[in-house]
Amino acid sequence: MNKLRWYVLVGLAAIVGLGGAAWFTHTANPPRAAPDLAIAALSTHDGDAGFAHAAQPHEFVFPRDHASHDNFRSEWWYFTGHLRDRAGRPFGFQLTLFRFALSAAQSPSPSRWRTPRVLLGHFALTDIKGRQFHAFERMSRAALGIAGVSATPATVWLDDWRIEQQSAHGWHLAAAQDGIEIELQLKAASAVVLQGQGGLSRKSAAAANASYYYSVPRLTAAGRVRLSDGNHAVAGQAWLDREWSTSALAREHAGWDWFAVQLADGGTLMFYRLRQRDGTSDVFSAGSYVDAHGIQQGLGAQDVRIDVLGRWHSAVSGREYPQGWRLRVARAGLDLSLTPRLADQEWRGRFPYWEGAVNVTQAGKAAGLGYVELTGYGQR
Amino acid sequence: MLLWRASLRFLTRHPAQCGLAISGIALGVAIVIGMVLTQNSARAAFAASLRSVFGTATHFVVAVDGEDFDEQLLAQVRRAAPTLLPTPVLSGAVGYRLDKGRQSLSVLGVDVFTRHEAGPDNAGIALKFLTTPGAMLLSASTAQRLRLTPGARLAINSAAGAASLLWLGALENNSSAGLARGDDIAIVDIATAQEVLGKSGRLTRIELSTSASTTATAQLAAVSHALPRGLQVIDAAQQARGARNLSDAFYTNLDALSLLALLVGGFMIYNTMAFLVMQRQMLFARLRALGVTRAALARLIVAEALLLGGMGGALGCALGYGLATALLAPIGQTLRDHYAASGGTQVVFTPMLAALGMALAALTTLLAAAVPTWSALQADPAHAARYSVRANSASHGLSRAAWAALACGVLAVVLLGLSSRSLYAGFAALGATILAAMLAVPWLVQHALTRLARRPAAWQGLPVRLAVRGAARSMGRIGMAVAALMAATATSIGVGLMVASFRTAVDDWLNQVLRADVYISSGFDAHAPPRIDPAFVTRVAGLADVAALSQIRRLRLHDGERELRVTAYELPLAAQHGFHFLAGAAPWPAWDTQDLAIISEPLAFHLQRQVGDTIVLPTPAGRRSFHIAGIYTDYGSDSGVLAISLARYRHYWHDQRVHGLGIYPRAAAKRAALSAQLATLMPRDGELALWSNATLKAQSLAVFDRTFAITHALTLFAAAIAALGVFNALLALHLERTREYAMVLALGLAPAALRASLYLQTAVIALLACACALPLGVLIAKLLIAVINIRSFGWSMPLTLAGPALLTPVLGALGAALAATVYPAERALRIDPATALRYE
Repeated sequence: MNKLRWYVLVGLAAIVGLGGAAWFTHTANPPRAAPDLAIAALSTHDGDAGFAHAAQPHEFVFPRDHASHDNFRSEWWYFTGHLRDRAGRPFGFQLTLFRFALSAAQSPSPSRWRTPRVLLGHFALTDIKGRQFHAFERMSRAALGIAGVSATPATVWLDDWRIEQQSAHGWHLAAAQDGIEIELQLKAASAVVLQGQGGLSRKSAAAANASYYYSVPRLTAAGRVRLSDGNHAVAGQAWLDREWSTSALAREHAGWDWFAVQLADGGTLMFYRLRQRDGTSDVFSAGSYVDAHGIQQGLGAQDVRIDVLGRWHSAVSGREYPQGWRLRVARAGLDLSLTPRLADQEWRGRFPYWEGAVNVTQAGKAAGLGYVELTGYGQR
Repeated sequence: MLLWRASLRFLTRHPAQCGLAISGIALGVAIVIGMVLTQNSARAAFAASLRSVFGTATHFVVAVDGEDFDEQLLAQVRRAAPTLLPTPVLSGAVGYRLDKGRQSLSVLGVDVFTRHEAGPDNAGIALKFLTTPGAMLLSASTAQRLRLTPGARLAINSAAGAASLLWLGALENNSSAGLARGDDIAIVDIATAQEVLGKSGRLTRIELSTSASTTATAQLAAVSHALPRGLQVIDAAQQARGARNLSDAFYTNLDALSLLALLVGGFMIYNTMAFLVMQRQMLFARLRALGVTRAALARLIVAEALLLGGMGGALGCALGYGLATALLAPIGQTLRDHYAASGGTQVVFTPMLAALGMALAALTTLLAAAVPTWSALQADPAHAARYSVRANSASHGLSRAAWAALACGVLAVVLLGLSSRSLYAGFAALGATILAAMLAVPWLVQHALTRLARRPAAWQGLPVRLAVRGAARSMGRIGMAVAALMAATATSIGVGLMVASFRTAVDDWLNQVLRADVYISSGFDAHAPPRIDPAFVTRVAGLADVAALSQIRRLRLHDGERELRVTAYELPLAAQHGFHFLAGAAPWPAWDTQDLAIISEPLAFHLQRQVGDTIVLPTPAGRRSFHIAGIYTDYGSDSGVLAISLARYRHYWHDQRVHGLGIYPRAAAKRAALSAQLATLMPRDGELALWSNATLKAQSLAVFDRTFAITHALTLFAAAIAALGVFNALLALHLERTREYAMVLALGLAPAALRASLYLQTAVIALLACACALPLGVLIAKLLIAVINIRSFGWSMPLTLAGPALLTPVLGALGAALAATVYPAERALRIDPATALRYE
């Protein structure tokens, strides 16, 4: 009995103490990851007023439309491609420069930093044989000459990363960091493909939610690649995607899967699947197929069947991505299998995503090469 | 069962005593928790501000002279080392008005595209941050201090003129972002920073992060190689460490003060528990006689101690929280005044801390209860039941304590001899000294009283004899309380004397060093670039009433690990007399022609340099050796200053501008006329401010007084705990003696005489305690000045025996002791002698 009282008393004291502690700590919130201010500012669509919108069909004129469209909020020059050195060693590359505008107008200021224009650069080299994915991200305001865009000829640069239009449909690309370097001359080997309806690419039912989008799905590439073991003279094929808009993904979209395939028979296929938050495909998913003769077919959501064949889990970011696809386009007679040439081609910068070189086969036989971009994975 | 009921009945029937016990424990715990909380919060705020200011950078590119530089360099650094994520920073300060006072706000201009900055959940705010000129991010607590509401603008003033900053709103409500954001720093976009600071095209530093790169060393070398002359790469961690070291001494002082309060609090808890046990000696004796075992009684007392400890601990946590909240503002102000850091405005109470408070309370209470319990249980039940006052065994303890006191005294001397630089050894010696005195005092007082009692003088009436004897006999019981009272009084005296001496020294120094009538300087920003050009100096010098000018140029040099504050002086004769040299001779004859330096006392202490040594300064013309000609008194900076000649500075730095002018008028000049003439010369943009000698002095002393406000507050807290302890001890004493008093009253002593005797007894004890406290107080002051101040800050000063600092604590202690006698004495007198005697 004594013992019981003893326990009661000690318990009472403990309860008083813990009660006090709880009273003090009840207001404390569990910590959450802080959002990145720059990304938040670039992602918002507050103050879209003043920007142009991709609402009407656009009359594309080249080389004018290779250059920047400053009255739209965002724009990109998106080069991907497959290269081989003389010994046949394969590489994948990506050089993308994004232009963003924080506002349509610029307030006068003595400071050169008071510019709404921001450039983001992504440069990656996939060393397929060495099983290495070298990826670099840079960002800067278009200030102090560090970064910028200029119109004739179309030039976009971020430090010493440069994308320069050289002839009507020729480009010069250069990028280097940490001993990894590319320098390529590109020449269009196919016509410009206007995506969507004559280049107007609708992303949702909302009228304003659209972009102007064209591709040059096949460019011949020649130049050099530098790795830690030295320079490699390379040649291969590249793909250019150009897109500008003032809208972004609709709220119901979790992300997209983008497929760009250069078929060995001369045909090309582009398809983006807009994924809804419940995992299903949006009806606005779309693409195009251009056959070896240059005949273009628009593809709707119902035209392409995509089956995911596997998954890859990134130990670094903890994100999980689909890995390997079967793409069936009955209208084009395609039944393609896409397999990443390297599993880890994950971007771990401020925008986490997966973008990488893939092998394309049909009925077990090599049928071409491609690039796949996967965004919006692993976020809950 | 019976036992527990008896215990509960006792506790519930004596709510006042229970309350006293709990409040005693609570106060002791409160001071510890309060101090821990305050310091945690201040340190967290400091770390956060360091994070805000330095980001995650590992290296900085800065100008050798600490000034800003051309932003175009960023493009080069980006090319040389893109992987080190170079990011530009422009920092500075702007002035604003708050409550008619002018204050300054640090502004940190960053480029969020290259420097990660935690953003808001609301992306609209993020966009506004980048597109709205003047937009700033500010912690909610700082915004509250500045009385800003979201969307409100703060009117500011800077080199660029009047402007305003827009507070976008709190970010920390919904995310952890707020925890990472420092107080008292306005984070703005770099464009806004250049605009409001009037520094278009300029950067303070370029931050580099080597953590992300495997080729960091090579890239750092590449950056160094790409830098033009006058710029250098420095280690950010060392920079931050330097900033942290600055305020370490300040925290150590706070630590020591709270430990002192804990010591006093511990004695108080001991008193309380001893009282609770002792009061029931009769009861325990009867229970023992009834067959209750010692173990059962011990368990009972332990349970009581835990219960009281638990309640006191919980209350102490709450009180400590309040204390911390109250102390944050003054501590924050002090940190802002001296270290350009914030004290934080948010007290974060963690369960861990609550556990610490509870554990502290339980442990101290158990320890405190152990001694009286042991002595109560050792007593032979039959004997104890008959007679309860047992002062004899306690007086054996007193002589043991005297030996312990001696040991502590020796320890203090040894500690002082051991190291001449360790602040911790200094504090340990101080603690040992106080402990020695506390242990010795009951013994000393008892001896003094016994002497008095043995030789009753003719003037001693019965009440006096009763008082003296009573006091002498009670020392074993209330010795602890007396010692605590003495220690608190002595500490008050010591700290008071130290502060008074310090203030006198600073006042003297200000009088000596501030020799000009009027000063012109960049008004509010200590880090501002120099704004006074030679043309302006010529115009001022040309005024009819101006006899001479002193000129001052401040700069911060980064040399290896530490930042060195350098002041370049051009001094007329009158100003030269303002320097008081502690070592070396006045260097003036060769001042402008040779590479001479004089260093302030704290700098000499920190760098361990002496007159005759040399010090190497990185100048734009390369590294140059300066010969140390003298060490001078300076209370302006606890990190220390190195002074060189303005002519030498100009020789190496090729910079003509200065930060401030001191104006010495002609003998016949009228002050009003001079001020009017100066006012016409002053630029209208508010860049420069006129300060009169008196204003500067008054402001400096105001900052000084603010700094020591906390010290005063903590000393008062310790004194309050001691007073409560005395109250408890006297209450115990008089309760214990109730029957004795009844007997004396029954024998015919007039109640008035007994009352007089009781008050007299208290007065005698308190006077003796104070008599011990006075010399100890002076000793503490001496230790604080000669050991602690030197080791914390490197400042020396003479001890001033200020009357108020000596007497106020003494009067306070006497008053507290007498006040503490009122209730116990009146209670003792109210008891009906017959009732009290019935149990005899």
